[in-house]
Amino acid sequence: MSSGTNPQQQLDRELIRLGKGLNIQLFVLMKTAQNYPEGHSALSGPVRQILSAVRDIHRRNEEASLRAHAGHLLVGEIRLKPDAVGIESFLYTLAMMKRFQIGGIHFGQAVTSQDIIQFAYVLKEFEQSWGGEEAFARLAARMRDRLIKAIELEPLVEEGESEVPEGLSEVDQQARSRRIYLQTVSATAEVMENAKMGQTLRLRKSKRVVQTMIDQLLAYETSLLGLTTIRCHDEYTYNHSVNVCILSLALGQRIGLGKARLCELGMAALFHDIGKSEIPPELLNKPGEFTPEEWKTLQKHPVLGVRALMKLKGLDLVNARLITGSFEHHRNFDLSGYPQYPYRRVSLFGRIISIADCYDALTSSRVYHRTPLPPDKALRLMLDKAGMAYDPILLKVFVNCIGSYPLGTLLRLNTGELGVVVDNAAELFLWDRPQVRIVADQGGNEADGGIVDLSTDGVRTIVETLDARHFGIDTSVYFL
Amino acid sequence: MGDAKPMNEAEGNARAGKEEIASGAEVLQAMLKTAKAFRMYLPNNPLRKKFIDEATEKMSAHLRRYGQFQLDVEQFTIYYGGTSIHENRDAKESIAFRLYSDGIRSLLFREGIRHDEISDFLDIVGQDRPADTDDDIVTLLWIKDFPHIVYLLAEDFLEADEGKGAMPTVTSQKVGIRKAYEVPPEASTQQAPRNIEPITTEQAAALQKETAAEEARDPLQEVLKVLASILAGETDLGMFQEFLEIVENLIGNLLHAGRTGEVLRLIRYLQKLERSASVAPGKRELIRSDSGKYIPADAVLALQKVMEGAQDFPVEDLPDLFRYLGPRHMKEICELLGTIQQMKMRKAAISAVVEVGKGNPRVFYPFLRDQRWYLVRNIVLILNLLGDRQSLDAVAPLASHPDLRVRKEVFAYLLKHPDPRARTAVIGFLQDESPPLRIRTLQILAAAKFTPALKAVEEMIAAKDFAEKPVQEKYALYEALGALGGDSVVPQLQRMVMKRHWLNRFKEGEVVACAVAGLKKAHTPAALEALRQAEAKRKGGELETLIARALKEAEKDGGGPISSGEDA
Repeated sequence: MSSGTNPQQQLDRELIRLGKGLNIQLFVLMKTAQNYPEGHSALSGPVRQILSAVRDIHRRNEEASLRAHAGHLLVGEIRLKPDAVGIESFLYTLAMMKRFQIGGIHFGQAVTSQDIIQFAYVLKEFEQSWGGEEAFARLAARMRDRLIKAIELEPLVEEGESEVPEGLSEVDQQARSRRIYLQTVSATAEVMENAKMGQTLRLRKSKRVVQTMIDQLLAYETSLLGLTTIRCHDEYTYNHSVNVCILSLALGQRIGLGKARLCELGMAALFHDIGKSEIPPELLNKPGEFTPEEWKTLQKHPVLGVRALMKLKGLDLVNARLITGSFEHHRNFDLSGYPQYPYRRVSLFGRIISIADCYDALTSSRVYHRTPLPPDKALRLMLDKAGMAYDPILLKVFVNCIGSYPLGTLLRLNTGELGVVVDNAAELFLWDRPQVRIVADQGGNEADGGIVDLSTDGVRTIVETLDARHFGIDTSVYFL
Repeated sequence: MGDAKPMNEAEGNARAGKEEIASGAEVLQAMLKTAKAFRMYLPNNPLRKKFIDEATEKMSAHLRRYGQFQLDVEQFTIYYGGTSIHENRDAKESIAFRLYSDGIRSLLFREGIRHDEISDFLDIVGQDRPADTDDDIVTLLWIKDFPHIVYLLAEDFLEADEGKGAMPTVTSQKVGIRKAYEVPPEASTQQAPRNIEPITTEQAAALQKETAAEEARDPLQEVLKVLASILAGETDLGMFQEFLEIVENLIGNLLHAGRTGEVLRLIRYLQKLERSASVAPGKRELIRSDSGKYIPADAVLALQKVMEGAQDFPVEDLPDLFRYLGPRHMKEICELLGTIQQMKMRKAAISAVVEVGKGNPRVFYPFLRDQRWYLVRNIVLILNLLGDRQSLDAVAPLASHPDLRVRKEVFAYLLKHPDPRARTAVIGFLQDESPPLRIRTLQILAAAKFTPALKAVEEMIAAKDFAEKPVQEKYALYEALGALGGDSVVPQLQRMVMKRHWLNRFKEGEVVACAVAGLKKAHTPAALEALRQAEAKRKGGELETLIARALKEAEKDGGGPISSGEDA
């Protein structure tokens, strides 16, 4: 098979690498400038790296510029996709550019270290302000005063309210997410029913929907993540499997797994509970707590899953992932979980699925826990067990992924309104000010008050989180 | 995936005129030729480049003119604009069949498509790949994520089953909201932390390292660990036995795939469990009794390929492998022995088989009748090494096997066998067509002082064809005569050694030498005396030296019969 790398693709990859490096070093420079005066030797490192990146880009006859467009950061014309390493710098730069209405930062061929340092301190001067209409003009003027000529700024182009790439409206993308969600439930059900009947497992359909789900996640993460708030409480359904799949993929994508690995992860997450096809439904659907004997039966499902997969599918790459996913997802990071068999280390996929599984289980009443927790409380409980039940680094990434107020959290605002979290703020350090849909006015009347960005609202703040289940409020309806 | 939909024929006709369809057909033909070239030529072959350049040119020209290039796929047919432009009903060769089997119903190529996209696309669809595996066409296309190629799948046209009850109905939340307002805000409600702690550089680096390692990891190794863990930890014997069966089925699949490394890992692990005192007796017994039970015969035979490529297969692994497969699969192992050519591998295999076959040598008997001489030879050797007494009746007839190598092995077997019938069977080798084997037989019989062979030896000497025999054989015959006959043949030999052949000096020399050899081997006082007399008579002649040397050697040996040691 051909390697698929032609000179253009290679150049693109190089530019992405250089662009990411340029962005990270700019971030490091800004942070350093916060703590040290102009001229301090601590600045020399990041400045040198920035110069090197700029020169490398120019050597390739490309534009050394960072641009913001439709919520994305670009180097020249190429979009930079954030990964776990660069996410903070990525979000910082985007936030900074939005605040100052900067559409692009261009580093000319003649740029010097002095230009770069002065630029950093100009931005620092403006750091305390929250931007506004005049921000760009004032910034540009200040740069002229400082005679910074080799760095040029371009203004941010006015963007529509819904920043949706590729022309799909918000309504369309929600509809698409719903469709994918339902298809995945359907495909999962088919496989699980086959497993129950001891028939050969055919995973092609499931693989296709997982691939579609990954594409959707890469493009419209929030609309798919929002559907994980769906809770079906009357009987065991496959929603849990699909939710764990979505959450696992979100986490996997965030740590930089490639498409092929994401597909395997998605499949493993989707069928992590395949062993439950051999647990009596009356036990799975039992209202109330389980007896010790019943727990013992339930705790067999990881091994039953391995058995089913080996017997009904045979061994290939995807099935291998399913097998380890089924076996490992209750083992715990410190191996204190079950089954208690001699085992050395839970794999990366096992740790990811474990986090996703637990989060969805804690926030649902039908998966082991009789009293579901609100999302933020679930996260706090999990954070308390970091390093024991959960991989601490992955858990941190997961929390970063879904926010300190996860999607679906019901909030009481200082205005007396009630809101449901529907998205996180773009800036990492503003994730305690998410985007919320106003669902009730200050008089307590149900309302469709639209979506408010608490990071820019200036008026509304969060007073408390509420347990939506306790009041019989289903927050998932706001994602349908 | 995309917004193209497969068209029905009427729609197609409306949209594509004859010229466009002809152009589409040309493009497809160029693509098909290129796909074939990919299968036939190596990547660096200039012909490949020629084909791909042509396909790209035609595609680009078509796209420039018509904007897009859409193909609709049925089981054996490809359509453009509602018209069939390609059909191939050979499932192995048909690209339509390949695409259709994998679920592809429509392909759309857009303007701006690059050379490398077409090349990679054809490389993917041109190979015959099973649909339900990891590298099926759709998965490969999806991973590549071609910016100018869109595909539609059969699944894209199916409506999601909303009957599964997965989606709640959107209802008013009025009641719940009212309840929430009735409860005053709680002062004690815990707030989320102001800032989410980002991951540190070190943590990010650790994650990156782990993610990179994940790319290289072989998931099969993880599965082996899982299975090993279950076997070690499972206490329920019923479940344990199920997993034993699962592991053995896996071993069978791995043998087929030639992954002997993993096979050995599993087998050794099972053997370790079986030996370990800390493992429950019931489990150990199950491993003992069921080893090899669930491994299919053809999987064992698949080892042939691996063993032929012996450089990749360490011979020291064979004993463990055969020990495990052994009792149940001796038949297949013997079949394998019939195929191994390499000396080192053969020796190791035989040694391993001997170890395994100790308990049941009868399993080898049927192979004594095999057509393959080297298998028969190996089996005889194995039976010999096993010291199996019961197989004499099966082995003895092989003394007349057409292949000398087999007969040699049978000879060695018979020599070791304590049964007197084996000795008698050895005598039969005196008539073997191979002179070296006949000579060896004579030497063995002589050394063993096996007197029943004397008659046969005398008959051979008296036979008409004696004169044509090689001289070494003649000597061997007379040595045997002397050793077996003792004093009874001394007069005959003495006459021979004393006789003068006035007219044929050469013949005299040979006759005297034979007689001397016989007398020396007879080694009785009478024989030694005959030699002394012969020495005296032939003083001054050239034969004197021969006789003197023989006498010296005989006297040095100390007289008396030589002990009958068998030389196996």
